[in-house]
Amino acid sequence: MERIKLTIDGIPVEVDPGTTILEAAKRIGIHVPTLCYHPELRLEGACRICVVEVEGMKNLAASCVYPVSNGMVVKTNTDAVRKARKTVVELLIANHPMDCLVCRRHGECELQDLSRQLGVRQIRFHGEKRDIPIDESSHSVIRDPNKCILCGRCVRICEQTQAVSAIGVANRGASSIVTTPFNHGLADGPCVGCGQCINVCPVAALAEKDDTERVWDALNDKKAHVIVQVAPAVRAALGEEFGMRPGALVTGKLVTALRKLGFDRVFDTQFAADVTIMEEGHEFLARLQNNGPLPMITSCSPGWVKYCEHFFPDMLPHVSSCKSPQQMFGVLAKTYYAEKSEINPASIFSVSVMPCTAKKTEAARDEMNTSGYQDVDAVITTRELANMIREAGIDFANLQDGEFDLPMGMSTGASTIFGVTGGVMEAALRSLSELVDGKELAHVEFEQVRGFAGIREASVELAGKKVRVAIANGLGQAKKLLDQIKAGNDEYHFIEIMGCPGGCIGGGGQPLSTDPEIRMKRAAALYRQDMLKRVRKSHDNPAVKELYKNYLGEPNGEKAHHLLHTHYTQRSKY
Amino acid sequence: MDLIRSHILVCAGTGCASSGCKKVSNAMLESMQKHGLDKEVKIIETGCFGFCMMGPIVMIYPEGAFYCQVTPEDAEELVTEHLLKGRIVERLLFKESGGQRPVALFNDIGFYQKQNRVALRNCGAIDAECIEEYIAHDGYQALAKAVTQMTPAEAIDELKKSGLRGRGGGGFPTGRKWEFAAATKDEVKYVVCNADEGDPGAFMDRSILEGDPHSIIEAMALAGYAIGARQGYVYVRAEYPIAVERLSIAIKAAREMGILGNNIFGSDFGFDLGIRLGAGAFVCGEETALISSIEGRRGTPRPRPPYPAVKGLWNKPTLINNVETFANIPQIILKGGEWFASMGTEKSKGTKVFALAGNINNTGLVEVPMGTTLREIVYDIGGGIPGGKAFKACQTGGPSGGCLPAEYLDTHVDYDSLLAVGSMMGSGGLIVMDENTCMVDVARFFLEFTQDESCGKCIPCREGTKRMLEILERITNGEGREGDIELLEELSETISRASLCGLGQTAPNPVLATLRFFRHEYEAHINEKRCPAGVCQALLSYSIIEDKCKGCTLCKKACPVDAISGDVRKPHVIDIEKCIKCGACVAKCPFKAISR
Amino acid sequence: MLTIEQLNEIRDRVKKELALRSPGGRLIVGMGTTGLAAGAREVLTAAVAEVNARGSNLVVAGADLPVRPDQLPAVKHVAPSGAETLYTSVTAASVRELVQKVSGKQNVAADS
Repeated sequence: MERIKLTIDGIPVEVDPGTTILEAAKRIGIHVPTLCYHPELRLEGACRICVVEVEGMKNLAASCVYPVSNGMVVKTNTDAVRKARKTVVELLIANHPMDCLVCRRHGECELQDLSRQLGVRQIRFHGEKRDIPIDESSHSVIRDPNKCILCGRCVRICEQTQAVSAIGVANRGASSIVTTPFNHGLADGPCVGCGQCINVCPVAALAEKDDTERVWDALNDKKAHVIVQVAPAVRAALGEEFGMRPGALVTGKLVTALRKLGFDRVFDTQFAADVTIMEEGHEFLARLQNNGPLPMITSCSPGWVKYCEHFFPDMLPHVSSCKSPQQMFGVLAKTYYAEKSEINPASIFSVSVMPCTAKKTEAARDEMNTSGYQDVDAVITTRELANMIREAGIDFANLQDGEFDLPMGMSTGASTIFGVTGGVMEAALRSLSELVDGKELAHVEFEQVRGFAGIREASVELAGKKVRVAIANGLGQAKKLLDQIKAGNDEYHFIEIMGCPGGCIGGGGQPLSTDPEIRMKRAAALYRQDMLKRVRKSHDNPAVKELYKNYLGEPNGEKAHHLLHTHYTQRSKY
Repeated sequence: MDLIRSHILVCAGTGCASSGCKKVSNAMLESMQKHGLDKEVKIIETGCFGFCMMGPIVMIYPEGAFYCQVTPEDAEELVTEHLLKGRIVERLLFKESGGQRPVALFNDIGFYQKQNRVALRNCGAIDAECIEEYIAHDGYQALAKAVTQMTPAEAIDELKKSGLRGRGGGGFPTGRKWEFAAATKDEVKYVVCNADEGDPGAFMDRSILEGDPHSIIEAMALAGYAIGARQGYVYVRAEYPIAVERLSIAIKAAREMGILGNNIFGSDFGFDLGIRLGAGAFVCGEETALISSIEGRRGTPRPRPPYPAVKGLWNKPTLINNVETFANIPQIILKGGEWFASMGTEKSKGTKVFALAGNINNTGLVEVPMGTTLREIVYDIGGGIPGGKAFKACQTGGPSGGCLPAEYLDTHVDYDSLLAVGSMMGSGGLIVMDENTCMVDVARFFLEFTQDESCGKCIPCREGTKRMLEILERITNGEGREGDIELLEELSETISRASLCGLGQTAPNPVLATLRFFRHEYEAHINEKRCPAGVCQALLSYSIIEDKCKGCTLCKKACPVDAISGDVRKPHVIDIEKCIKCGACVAKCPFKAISR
Repeated sequence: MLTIEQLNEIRDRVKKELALRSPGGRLIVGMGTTGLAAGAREVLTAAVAEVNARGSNLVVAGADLPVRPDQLPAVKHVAPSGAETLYTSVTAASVRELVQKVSGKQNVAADS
């Protein structure tokens, strides 16, 4: 392929055809500010922050979309360029609520950053500003259209990555807004609550529903027995909120911080993840023996489950009836744990810390009260927990390591990797192999199901039978996989689907980032933790064994089924 | 065989339809039936004659009598006098302004004399719903010639020779556009006709679709042959129901007759057409937004490159021309590029259709050779300014164009001359303004339009035009501040240089154009809180000139808020506090005694 | 599929019908009350039929003609040049001949 030669700010650069000016500039270390641009998303060229001068062109070119050509002379730092960028930011701010000091994205706002970078010092326009009601209908995602700068990243990730399209741009000109079909509340549409839109929002137009006040209230309530569970992916990402490098594993500090916040018991969702493997594994074996319905699809990801209810209702019989680990934990906390510890379940306030915003909606589902109470009382995200830790003045980076409480804090390496795409499948295969074949695995790592490709597939031997498995991460990829299956192109026995790219480590409640490199570092942390665990297979978890022996009986048995399994509802899109 | 001795052509374009042509033709028919003439006289509903000011228009052949503003009540007289007795009804003929004698024949009317109708050649002359009448006017001969005697490259060459440039506004050489689309290799390509005419006051595309839909079908098929496309789409706004209906009828007729479809005129070439309706967004006239809209998505532009000729509709190479451009093409193929190039100026060949509007006697649609001066269009064809008022400016190129003052009346109207004086051809809107027009108010009006029609995708256009409009509203409301002009200029610069599409890039033009020639009016509004044209209400202050007032009390009676007091035969006074500046007193005063 | 021959056939046929709208010369039949009584309508009908049959672009119109009643029906031919010729005591048969005659001339005139 012929290379393209051009100069940017006087520096010659040689790139492949089809490269954009922005990419070429980056190659030689020239920073061009961007706003609507996102490396993971379709190019829009809409915000015009990244404009540059191209010799011979009357107008400024948006460098994020403009392809290079031979002999092109680009200038990224001219008076016209600086003025245009500055005016664009000034115009945005002129239509933006000026409540930066109390804004939840204060300090983490790309508009703020741009304003500082470009030296915007005054706003000369004082006209009409938008005044649109905030959409608080969803348990997961809150939309404040007044803060929206219409970069469209949320719309693109919802459509392109997640294949949901719960939001889009409506109206035109100055009345344009990002909204739902017919302006209904987000909760009334197909939004699955995954929160990917929050992760790409440059401002505070999209944010998770803040449940920290309810948690503080519970912690302040002397009569309440406040317990907390923490999902695996949280420990691989929370450190980023406190200036630690991506991929830092902070399990011990996390436990200590939760104790310092005042939780009576600090438990681990991973305990319930091991239970999930017991239930799901046995359910799978039963389906395998009783002719289906197969493939069986995992049900750990509430974003995926809701997606299936809206978009693939005919596939619902294929979804495992197992509750997610969060909900298994919730019901066991108010039954098994309450009984064992002789605590009135009514006095238990059960909090869960999740990398996920969809978990908030999941906990609020009508059917999630098999314990006789709401199984999980409050769900906060990794980001909300970080806020609580900051608010409490805890010096997180310098905390001593702590240990989870027993019994529901005991977990295995298998449950740790639930937080990364392919992890549930690998954990299930570790147990299935031993349960079915009856002999111990020499090598517990199933490398063939690991990785970050959107869709992966593998074959494993189970009781002399060839079992085909597939893994999808991100709902757009899930849709692709399901469409292929429905078209009859592929046949699988067991499928793992995670709603977010990379699995829970890339969840909508994680420290703000959609950078694939950071996701990989978080995943590596979980695989490291798995290696460090003494017990690495769910069915070997002693606390889980005891749970079945003394309380539940058989996996997939009557009591287990009553407490740990659920059902699904077909939902319309609009 | 019918023994038809007379044809009555009734204009059924949108203009005449809204002034009641249907009732006129019904009344004519009824009267003819009464007198037993309905078998020997035929009524034909045609497309637009262009002279909308004078509608409903009825033309009676063979005499070629041109009757204007005909009412249903006139029908009986026309039938008994003209059709039965052969006497021209002078009362209904057109009279030139200032002229004493009525003009009987349409070719003798000044409005038509200087025109040269190429794109509009069949508009008003044929029954738009009758494919045979189009064929009788050499319709589909160009297509037959091209597919049987010319290679695609030869057809494109003919177009290049003609020098035809895009009539939608950009003025890009049409032949080169076809060449690009032909050069892109792909099995599937598309031809699109942009009929999303959106400039306020412009309606030439609508008139062509209403009056001569087959010329567009023929031209699109020619384009398909030239670039290698087998499918075309006409993107037309849903607000043009008559155009849509006639085009649908025309496509159906062309299919039934075997002109559209496979093996056109026995060749290997096949072509078919579909209509896609737009919802009336101005921005959908921008080609990438138009493509997006046809694809069923939100009609917003996307950055170019890639250009539609490479990646257009459904990512396939797509040729997009506007209606007027297409309407010229069959004639070019039939008569040759040189014939077309013999009209117009060196760089702007052929003719251009203009929609005359505003303070002008003959509003309507006119087609003149490129290079005709503004003065000829405004005065010779347009009949000058009503009420003997002075010409102040004219806006060419629609909301994105520019305003030219009187000293530019001798500018030749062609792409380059207009650009040279800071205006543009645009799609051919021509709005004439008289001395009573406030140029700041004009800028505000057009900016209101562009900001309302901004798609909202890019920030400079979405947020910038809104702030510009606010500043203009402030100025016309008497709240202008020092620095407002500079702020407008700075915003204009950013919007025009940094916006995503042509709409945004030209959105500030109304302000830049008026600032260029009428900066003093802005300054008067801001510094002196005065509207020199007496238009901006907030800046008017009504008072009675004592010397002139005769105390007739008419103003006092006219005032709706009792702000005027005074005794009979004594000078009256206006209470400024109560005055709502409605102007009722000025209208009533017979002595011009009220100033504002 | 339409052939070029068929296209041309339609063009030529309809062109004749539309000749009315691009008049070459005019044949005015005296259609006053007395003219009508003397059989002017039959003359007019015959003239129109002949014009249509020949595809002439001659225009046939009715009007009042100032002619002595005993010379009716009368027909006036107005050539494209403006030259006028009055024919009196015209019959349906004679008007057909007249149409043939003036149409022929006219075509020559139109071609020159």
